[in-house]
Amino acid sequence: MSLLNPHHRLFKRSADESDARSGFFAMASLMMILLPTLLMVTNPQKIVTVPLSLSQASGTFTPTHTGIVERISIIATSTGFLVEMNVRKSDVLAASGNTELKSWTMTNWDSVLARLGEIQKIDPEQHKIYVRPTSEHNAQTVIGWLDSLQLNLTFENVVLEHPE
Amino acid sequence: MNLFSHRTQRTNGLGVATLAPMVDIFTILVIAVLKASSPQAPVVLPEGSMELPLSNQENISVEHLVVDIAKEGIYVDGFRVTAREYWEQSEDILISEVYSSLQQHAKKDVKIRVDKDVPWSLISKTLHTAQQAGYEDIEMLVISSSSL
Repeated sequence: MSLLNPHHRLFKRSADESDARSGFFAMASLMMILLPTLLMVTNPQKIVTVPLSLSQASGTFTPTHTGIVERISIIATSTGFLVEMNVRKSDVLAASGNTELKSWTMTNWDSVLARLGEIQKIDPEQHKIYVRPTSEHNAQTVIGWLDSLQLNLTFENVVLEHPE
Repeated sequence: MNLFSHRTQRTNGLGVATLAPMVDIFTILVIAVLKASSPQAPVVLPEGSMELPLSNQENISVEHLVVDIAKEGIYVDGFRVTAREYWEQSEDILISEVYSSLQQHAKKDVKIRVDKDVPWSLISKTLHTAQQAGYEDIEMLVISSSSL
């Protein structure tokens, strides 16, 4: 019988060595200290930023996008929304800026999002959109629009225009 | 005599079966608190009744020069510069007091903090004023909807 055989030990392992209670109790105690400490030192109000892109007051539109849809704009009205799309003419000789205007009148924001989803299918590379709220719309409403345009429809560049 | 003999196993204190879910709950709570809270100092608003809009954005803000549009007045860097009501009704799109105050600070980026009920016409005037004063990077500070 070899002494190096692991099955023959001089000192037998105690039966309760594998008891995990002490480990769990230590973990629970740590958590009970950690959680109130975190609640004390952190701020429950998380402040985040919304980047704002503003249109120039007297600037003229210069198309920089080379895709089929050159410009998309949403104009809020007192009764709903007007979605406008400047789409390049189907003529093979049509150059940049040679567009025709298509517009749709919507009554609610959900239908605007649905229409924009269809426009994105025509030109998925167009990530710029112009939004013109009315004077009566409040900050929370416009922030909600920006959220859905930037996060749901991936319009990275939302340009805000001054209400008329 | 018992019909159904049951075990009389003694457990002294908390067993693994009771500790394991408790540790799980604490772990989930710690992660939830870490995700929903912010390590920044609490927000100090110029007027107590001011409420910031909610947003789903995730970009954490860095403190810079702040323009506040509260319920009563307009503040630049915490100091009241003009009344809100006057500029809400005014036809002028450049807020002269804000413009001169922003020019004095002479920075390139500014944060706008507005009450959630402020009409967009006034916010647009403030943004236009900041733009005219030479500020290129303009961001709006809002409360994350994932806050506690």
